[in-house]
This record gives sequence, C-alpha cells and structure tokens, in this order.
Amino acid sequence: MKLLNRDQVKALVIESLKQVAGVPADVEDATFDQMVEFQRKVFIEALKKHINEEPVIDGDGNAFYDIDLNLNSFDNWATVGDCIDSITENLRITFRN
Amino acid sequence: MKRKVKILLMLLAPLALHAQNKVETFSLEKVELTSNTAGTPSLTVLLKIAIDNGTLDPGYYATPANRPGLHIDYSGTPPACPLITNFTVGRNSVGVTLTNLTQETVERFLAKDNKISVQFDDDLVFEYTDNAAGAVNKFGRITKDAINKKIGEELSFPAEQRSSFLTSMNNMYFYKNNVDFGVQTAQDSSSVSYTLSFNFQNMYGAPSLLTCDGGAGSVRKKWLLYYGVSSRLSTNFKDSLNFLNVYPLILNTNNYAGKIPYEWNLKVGHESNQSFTNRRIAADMSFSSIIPNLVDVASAGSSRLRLKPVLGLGLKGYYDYSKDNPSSFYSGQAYATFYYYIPIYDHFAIILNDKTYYDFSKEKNPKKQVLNNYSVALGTEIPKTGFKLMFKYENGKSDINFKQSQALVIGVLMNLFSDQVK
Repeated sequence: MKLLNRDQVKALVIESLKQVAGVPADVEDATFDQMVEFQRKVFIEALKKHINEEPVIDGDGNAFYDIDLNLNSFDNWATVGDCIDSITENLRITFRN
Repeated sequence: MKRKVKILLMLLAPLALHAQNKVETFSLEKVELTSNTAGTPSLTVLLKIAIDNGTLDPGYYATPANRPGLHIDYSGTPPACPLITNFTVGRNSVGVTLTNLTQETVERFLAKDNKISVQFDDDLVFEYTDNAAGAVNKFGRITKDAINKKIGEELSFPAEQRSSFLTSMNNMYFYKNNVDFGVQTAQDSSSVSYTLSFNFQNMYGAPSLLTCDGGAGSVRKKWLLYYGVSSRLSTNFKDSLNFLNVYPLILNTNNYAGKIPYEWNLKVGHESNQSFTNRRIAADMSFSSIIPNLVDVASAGSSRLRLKPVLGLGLKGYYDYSKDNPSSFYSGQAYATFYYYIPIYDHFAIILNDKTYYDFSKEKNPKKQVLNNYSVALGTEIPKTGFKLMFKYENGKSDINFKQSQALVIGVLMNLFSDQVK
C-alpha cells in the first residue's frame, strides 16, 4: 500500500483542470488567478473526486486516497505546481471501517 | 532441501518477532485540526509525528488490528447524529477523519461547554522507513496518554475557524465579495471621476447548513438562502452605467461535481440607478454553467490555463415605478451573461464580461431591440506575478435605465485592490 508520487498526483490535477480549462503542455507555472468562484468550485470538487476514486496502490479495496480541500486551499497555491506539491505532501490513505 | 529451509525459517521467526518488538518511542510534533468542504464535508484531527528522515508505511494499517482503538467523547450527551470516524495516514502523520457532521456536532466539537473530543484508547504503533539508516523499516510508538494530553492541550477549534468552516462548507459568500476602485477619464480629459464597484453576499443561518438525515448521515442543504448587494457607484452621479441592486432574498442550488456543473439562483429585490430615478422591484431566475473554449490565441509554449467561459441564462420579472414614467408597469427581461478570460500569446490577456438582454416592455424597449452591456479588460500577466490591468473599457446600455454609455477605466487603483476573485 503506497501513497501516490508527484507524477501520479500531477496527472490527477491535470485531469481535474480539464473540467474548467484548456491545459497547456507545461502547466506547472500556470496560476489560478483568473479563475472565478464558479470555476474554482468545479475544480476542487473534480480534484477531490479523482483523488478519492484513484485505486490505492497494492490496496485491498478497503481504503481510499484522501485530501482536505476547500476554497481557502487556493490561497496556498500560487501556481499549479504548488498545488501538485501541496497535494503530494498532504495526501493520505483513509481506511474504511 | 525444502525441509531444511522450513526448519531455518522456524528458527528465524522468533528473531523476526523480537526485531519487531524493538519499538522506539516517539513524540508528537504537533496536533492540528484540518477541514475539508469538497465532496463530503469532514474535519480531521491530524497528529504529526516527529520522524526525522522517515516516512510512514500506510500498509501497516491495512490490518485493522494494527489501528489504535479510539472513541469520541460526547461528555455524556450523545448528539442526534453521531460522528463517524475513519483512521487516516499520510507521509508523516496519522489522524482521525470525522464525517456525518451537523450543526450540533460542529458547534460542540472542542467547545468549552458540552465538549466533543477524540480520545485514543490504545497507544499508536506505526511502521516507518528510516531513510537515514538506509531505508530500513522500523516501528515506533506514541503512548495514548501522550496523544490525549496533546489533544487536550493543543487542539482547538476557534469560533472564527468554526464559522469559516460552516460557511465555506457550501462554497459561498465570502468569495462572492469583491471591491473594485477605478479612475475614469472624461472624453475631453478635462475631468475625472472615481468609480466603486462591489458585490457582497452573505448567508442567512450559516450554522444550519448541515442537517441530520434521520441518523443515516448528515446532508448538505440543497437550497441555500442568502442576501446581497451589488453596485457600481461613481462620483459622477449622471454616469448611466451606475446601479445599486439590493436583494434581501437569494435562493441558490448547485451541483459542481456533476458532468455538467451548474448553479441556479433566484433573486428577489430592488434594482435602481444611483440617483434612484429609475427603479424597480424584481424577481430574477438564472442558470450558470461552463461551456467549451471558443478561441485559442495563447502561444504554443505558454504555461497559462485557457479557462473555459462561464455562461449564464436568466429570466427576470419586474414592477417598474421609475420617477420618469407616467405610470408604473409590470414587465420582464430575458438575458444571457458571459465571463471569458482569454490569454493572448505569452503575457497578455483579455477579460470579457457581457450581459445581453431583451426587455419585453413597450415602455423601455419600444423598438424591440436586443441590447447589451459589456466590459473588456486588457492586461498583462507574467507567470507567478498575477494579472496587471492596463485598462478596462465599458460600453452598452444599462438594463436599468437603458441609457447608452461608454467608459475607459484606467486600472491604477484597481490593481491595488485587485479586481479578481481571491
């Protein structure tokens, strides 16, 4: 059972961004500045969903990847790269009872 | 041969168990409460373990018996909707995620009176990779007394954080609020005026956002009730783009996680120009969603996101009792709103805001025209520094007084206050 590495997290972030934006090949320096409230909500909901649904590596189906997200999270993400770093660092595996 | 290997394994097994029993005692670096409002709302009590050069092995907890026993202490008064706990593990922290939250449990969690808190019944044992010792797996332990003491002394849920959690849980009002200041030059450059635009939206009864669904689980309220003010005011009272809208009732429902994300809003309130010569009581129903990108003028190597436009469609009914009218009347409007941020080449960007509308009244729209009111903001954007507004051009007919107006707003002060959502 393993946590996701940065590349795996990046793939999930990009997949979620596609819900609200065209994503450039080099996305890491992109900022969230011009995202309006509606787009921000859609992005974090998509990100949470993708992270929760990603099968846990070497898992037995009784756990899922998890992360705390809310609209304040954008305050800590100057760029998309920061978002990827933050999620990689704070990602957790949560066990079902 | 196989028999010899089996005998060897049997001899080594006790040694392996002995090695496992050599459990080092650790301390907690800190304990904190984190919150999540995306998907199912949750709070997590996170215990950060002071491991130098090491990471926890989450697989150790795949065996339920290895997870520590814990319980929620309700101070003798169980809530109508008891909390659900799940054990969670990160790179250097473990925690307890709390779901099934309601107004009652959020208000009582770590409060002074009738307190709800998390208590560990067993020591926390964990497996970790010691990178300093050549990526060797080791075991550590933190006693339940140390954990419970740390939770009791350091974990808090201040009123401000509690309120912020409850309000952000439904992704709301604070982010709707913004203020823009601008300097507007006249066509002959002989005079300038100053504009102030602001949007403010707040919620009625924010603490009651979650309801207990008969003990089966907490649910978010599907319909949210707000009040709000929206305006553009100017030192030039005659500027026809000025308006002041006050909505005592805003009803919102949304689905941001669906395949087609959307918001529905019903607003009831009073709309007028700045001098109150044009005024009406209005009920306004609108639908907003995200549509595919229409243009791509960013450089191939650009690192900027090409945000998809946000389109809104609405229908408004109103009772107009303007001073200028010989008599008051009922009528309505159909309208579309459009927000589009377009990155151009490497460093430029245009932000387009448009409202196109059709008014059904003979009094206001005798020629039966489709009218619009738009703004175009041009600015530069250098990666990691944000958008710097150069100027903003506004043109069109205000949908409150139907007077044509145009304005060039120089974005000197706007950049100080930021015209974007933060």
